[in-house]
Amino acid sequence: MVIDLKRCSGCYACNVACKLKNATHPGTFWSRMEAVEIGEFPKARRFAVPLQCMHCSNPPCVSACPTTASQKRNDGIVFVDSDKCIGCKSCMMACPYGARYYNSAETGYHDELTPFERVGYKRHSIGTVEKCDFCKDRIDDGIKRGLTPGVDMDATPECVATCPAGARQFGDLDDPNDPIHELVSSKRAMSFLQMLGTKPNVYYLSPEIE
Amino acid sequence: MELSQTHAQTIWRWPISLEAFLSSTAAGLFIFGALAFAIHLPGVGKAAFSIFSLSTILVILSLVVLLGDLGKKNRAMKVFRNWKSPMTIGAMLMTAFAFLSFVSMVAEGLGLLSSRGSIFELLLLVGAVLGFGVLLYPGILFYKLNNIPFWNTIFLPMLFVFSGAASGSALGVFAVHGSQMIIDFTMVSLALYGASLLVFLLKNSTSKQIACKESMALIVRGNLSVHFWIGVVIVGLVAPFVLYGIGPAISSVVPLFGAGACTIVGCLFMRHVLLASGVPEPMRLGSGLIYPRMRA
Repeated sequence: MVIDLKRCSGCYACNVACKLKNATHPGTFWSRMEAVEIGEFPKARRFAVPLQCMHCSNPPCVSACPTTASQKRNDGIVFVDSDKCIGCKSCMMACPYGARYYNSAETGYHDELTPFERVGYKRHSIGTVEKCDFCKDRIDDGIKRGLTPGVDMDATPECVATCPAGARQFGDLDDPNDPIHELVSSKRAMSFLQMLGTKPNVYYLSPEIE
Repeated sequence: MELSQTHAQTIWRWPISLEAFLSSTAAGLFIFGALAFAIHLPGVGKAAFSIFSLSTILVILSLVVLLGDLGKKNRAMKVFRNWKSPMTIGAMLMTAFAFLSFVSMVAEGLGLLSSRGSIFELLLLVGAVLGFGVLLYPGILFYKLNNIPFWNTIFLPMLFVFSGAASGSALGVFAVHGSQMIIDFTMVSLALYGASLLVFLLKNSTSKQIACKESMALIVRGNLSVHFWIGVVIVGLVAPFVLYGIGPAISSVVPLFGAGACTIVGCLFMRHVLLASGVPEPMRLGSGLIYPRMRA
């Protein structure tokens, strides 16, 4: 995935789309937004930075997990098998991006659970850790129907399909013909905390370098 | 620099500090008992059952605390599935050590250890080796988290080993207190713990990483400074040395017991302070910093 920070307006549409798709509990944001300020007055600038699981090639959460609940698929998607998770939070400690959330209680946004929450929360197991899975069910289902992730929106993560500014791009980094390759090899491309050796697969296009 | 605790991790809290403290103290105590046997320390025969019983109780308590901190307690046995995970290795070590400690307790209860058969010497040796692994593992667990630079130094496992040895031998003093050799041994382990803490803090104080600086600021003059200066330094290090020093002069076990109690409390505070001061390395966008969210 590539996120163009120059295009992102910080509208939170990706966060809302993610919450709707995954019906996560209050306080849990598989996709979240941070604001960062760069420079000082009168040249200070403020940017919105969408954050989520980076689906690292070398994911420290997978090696930290004592139960093998955190796994990496052949296509590179890192996910949590909630049936295996014991809620030890080792993976949360190991994740340098703070992308993982612990499901502590089944509370909703209101005094009583809404019908949407009652149905949606059944997908989440209390006492386990969870995170963004790149909407792997959408991708798998789309591929079965002959669709191409990143090209066909029905086979693409919800946050990418929803972004009104086109700031998010999704594709196959292993395919040299995928348009995402051009973006990742551009001068503006960067990723966070590379020095930790995680090899994140969510890239950002810096807003500062043209 | 902001001296709040907003950037420090709060995923692992006091139960993890307590678990690491209990297991390390149990291991330190067992090694203390095994060494006492090995060097034929006077009085150890009478105290051995207390030492191995206490070691067994403490390590079982630590396993109970660890279990209590799990989100899915009924799935605890799945913890042994990933041999690459420090948590799996630690759980294996603690379980094996708990078993060996229990067997040693039963053997001593039946009077078999004191008979000095080679099989029982081997039992103590294997128990001591496992105990060393238990002393080492919490430090390795934190050291492996390279996203928290404060912990990512080899001096942290060393500090945890010496701290466990200090708290274990301090507890041993309650069981075997008639020997000057015990006092010397306990003072040496306390000195090594103090020195390793100093080296760990000096190493981190020279770090240029912003997360490290923030961790140090939290400890030295931030939210954790009272815990550190009073709990770790005054109660845990200064008071025991003073009490061990005046003990022989007044011919009473009270200062000796007081020193042991202070050491144990100080080692617990040390783990709490170190765990609560873990600040993750921030992500950088130009000169802007984004701190990873590390809250449960």
